[in-house]
Amino acid sequence: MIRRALGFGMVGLAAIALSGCGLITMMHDSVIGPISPLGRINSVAVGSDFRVTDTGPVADLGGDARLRPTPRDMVRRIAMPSSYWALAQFFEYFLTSFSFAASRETRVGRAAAEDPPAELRPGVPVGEALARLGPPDVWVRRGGGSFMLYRGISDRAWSFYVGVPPPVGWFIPIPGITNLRFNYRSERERATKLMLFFDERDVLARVSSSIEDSGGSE
Amino acid sequence: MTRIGSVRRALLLIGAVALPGCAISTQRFGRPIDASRIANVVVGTSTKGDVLREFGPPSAYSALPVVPARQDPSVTGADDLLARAEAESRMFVYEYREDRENFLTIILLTRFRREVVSDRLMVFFDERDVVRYVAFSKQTEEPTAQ
Repeated sequence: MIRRALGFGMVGLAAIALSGCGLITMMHDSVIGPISPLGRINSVAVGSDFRVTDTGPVADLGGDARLRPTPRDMVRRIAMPSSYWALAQFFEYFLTSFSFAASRETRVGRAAAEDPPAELRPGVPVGEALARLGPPDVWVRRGGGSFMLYRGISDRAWSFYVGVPPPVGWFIPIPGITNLRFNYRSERERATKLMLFFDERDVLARVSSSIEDSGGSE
Repeated sequence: MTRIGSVRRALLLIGAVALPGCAISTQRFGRPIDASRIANVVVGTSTKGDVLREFGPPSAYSALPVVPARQDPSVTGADDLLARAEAESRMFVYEYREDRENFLTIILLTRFRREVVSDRLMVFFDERDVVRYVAFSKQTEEPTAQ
């Protein structure tokens, strides 16, 4: 009976030590957190608004208690497809070192029109511009007029990764065999912008639009 | 032997079927905006009370950012201009946002797609709390080709 209680106690202690607010997590974050490839484990493990970015999973610690062992939105987070994406990336790259192809696409807002509508000529009042284009993302007023910005952002990434999985490498008597790998990655970001400049009478003075592409492959 | 072979084959089949997977989620923030009621908001006539009656409490009540002039405000009277400009650019913002994610994996092919779209209604008021401008955009539905 005592032995069983001790066993449960040890398991409980281990679970606490390894949790999002555990001793190991806190030591990692405090000592090598800023330079660790894992980043800050505590905020990612227990913070809210969990999401996966180009630099890995991130979350906002915000007003959450630092010593919370699990995130407040645990169920929602488990159900989010971005969690599965992170999990699949982990298994495919870290455990098997082989991923035939992985593709990721993110789009925020609808892209602004490449060419501004023909009706938007200088002299159009601000009310008409708003009625045609909808609410701007940014609208700043100045003493001598104002300007509006409409924008859309999208990014696409495609990658191919092949290598010797670490578990397989253990059985191959060649030092450093697991370092043999081939990785191809292609990324593209596109930002579309439409800017409208109005004079002090709130009449359209100038329209400017642009599309910016960035990214590359390696 | 044959029995073990068939069990192994069955397990392989189950594994092959179980490996592919997909997940689709849509998170919704706010309340959908009823576009048919926008026509009831008349520029120059409707008041703040009318807008509140039509659409309820806004997601945000704010003012456009106003950048001050570079000259000394006491000389140019820019303080008054700024205060007036801010008073003239008060607005109600109604927003409904959808965060759509889908994930697909078929053995070694993984695909993830995320799209954040929102419907926004902005109603601007003048200093007498009468509607000055109305702007609405709907992104949650794909635009129809014309």
